Amino acid sequence: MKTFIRAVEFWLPDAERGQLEHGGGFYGAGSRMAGISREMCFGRGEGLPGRAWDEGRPVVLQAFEGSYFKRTAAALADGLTCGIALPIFNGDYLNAVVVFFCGDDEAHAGAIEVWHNDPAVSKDMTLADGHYGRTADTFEFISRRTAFRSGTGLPGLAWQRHAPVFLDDLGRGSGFLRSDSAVKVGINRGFAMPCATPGLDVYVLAFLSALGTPIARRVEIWQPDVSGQALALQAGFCESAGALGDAPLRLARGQGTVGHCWLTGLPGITDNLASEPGDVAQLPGLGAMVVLPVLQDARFVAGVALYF
Amino acid sequence: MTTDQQYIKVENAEMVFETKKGRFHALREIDLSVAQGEFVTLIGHSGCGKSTLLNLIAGLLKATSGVLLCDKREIAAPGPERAVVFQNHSLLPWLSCAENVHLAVERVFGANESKAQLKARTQAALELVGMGHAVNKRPHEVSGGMKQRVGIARALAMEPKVLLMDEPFGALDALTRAHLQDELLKIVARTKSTVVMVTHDVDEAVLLSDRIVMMTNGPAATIGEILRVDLARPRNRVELAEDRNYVHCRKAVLDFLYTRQGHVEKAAA
Repeated sequence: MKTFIRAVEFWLPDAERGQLEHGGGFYGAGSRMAGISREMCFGRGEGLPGRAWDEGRPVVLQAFEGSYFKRTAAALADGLTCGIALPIFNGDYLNAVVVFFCGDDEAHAGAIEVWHNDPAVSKDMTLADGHYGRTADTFEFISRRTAFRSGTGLPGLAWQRHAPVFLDDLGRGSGFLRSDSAVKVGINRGFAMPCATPGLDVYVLAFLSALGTPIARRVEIWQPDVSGQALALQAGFCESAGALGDAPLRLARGQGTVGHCWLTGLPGITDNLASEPGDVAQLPGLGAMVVLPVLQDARFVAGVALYF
Repeated sequence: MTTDQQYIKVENAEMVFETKKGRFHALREIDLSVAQGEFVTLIGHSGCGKSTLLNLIAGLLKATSGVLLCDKREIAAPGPERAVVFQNHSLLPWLSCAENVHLAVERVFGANESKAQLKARTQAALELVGMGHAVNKRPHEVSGGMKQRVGIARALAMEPKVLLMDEPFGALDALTRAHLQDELLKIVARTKSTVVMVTHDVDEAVLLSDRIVMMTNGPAATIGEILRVDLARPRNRVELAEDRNYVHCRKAVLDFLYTRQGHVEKAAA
């Protein structure tokens, strides 16, 4: 089973905070991107990671050819045609830039959307940009014409809660306002997370998963429990194990890749799932894990783990 | 000439009614801007406060808190610049159609215009809605659709900056309703009026609107989602029925009402 997100990488500011260095990546076997990316670095405004850093908001680059993207030939050789760069800021200062890569083949169904609210202008959260798979034109049409208010719809819920929101079975529409369109194009699950950006503008990144090409093979949302001393699994979905949540496992600060993300506020990637807490290594089809920190006012709100 | 994007502005409005059973929180955190010349519909289930919001804009109710502006002036009371058309025509039965319209015309323009001018205004308004032939008839002598047309003529005759309509076609049969919707589209295209309209009818909302404001269920209802309907005008209902984008918009509103906000209907069933 192919996933909607085909590759993920993250970039970290160097010691001088003058440029971005490769922090890690999951590109799949035999990737040309993997080969060249480790040696690269980007200045502010340079390439896709540098652009996200400079603009201080998530950036969607729909097509690499003829663009400012610096690794076009390698990306196209890997079947990657589109990138979404998510900067993770701690106040005014950049912690990291995560880049998600998607393909453009016929079976590519799903969506990654960037929603935006400028509180000085409006109470509406509207679509800033998005990448939609081949079958999602109906869905995209509505998304581009819809404005959400805080607390309504998937982006509006993430905005209101300042935390990731996971909605399973969007066809039943429990909070997902575009479910009819979503079901029609095969989108069945979604999660959204607020982005840690500088300034007062609010950005929410929404991931919409289809049955044939889920966003990732497994999604987990970890948040501090009531004690504040451990992370508990709040929600998620595994393509092989079904709905997740209410697991007894707790993660201490620094424990596993998720706990390490909590400790550092930085993304993490591992392909050594056997060393992770719990039993994810036993599950079929999982080869790598990417963890994204969700920060709010410089506080760790959640860790989102994506498995591929 | 630039269009005022905030011709009507509702800012953080809240409406609480004091009832015999205690306080009823009807609306919360209502923020809405309507551009000059825009056609906006308010849609939602019964009890979601859409008529309350319309009445706040009309000045028939005063918000418990928040600010409402029309053309940069605070809305503190009803005014001739904001005409209201209700579901029931509310015509005076002892007056003819023309006299009903004339009453409103005289109130707004009587101080500055001659009798002949007032009469001309009355006649023009009735002709605008296709009722020029029934000027001398009393309300009970014309059909429900005609009465509603006279109600619209009365509102338009005041040359309001804003036309506020509370389910104006709700009591009419389907054919008459469709006919009046088409008439309204033509009239608004001619007058360039700013319109805020309450409706329960999804097709009506998509057919007429530039934007559809979808309200969450009450109590303490608020705006949940706003859908932009950028279908080309003039709109033809027969052609639109097969238009993909029309169908998308229609489904988006149905989805909101019956999937996300459907529990009111289920509870009532």
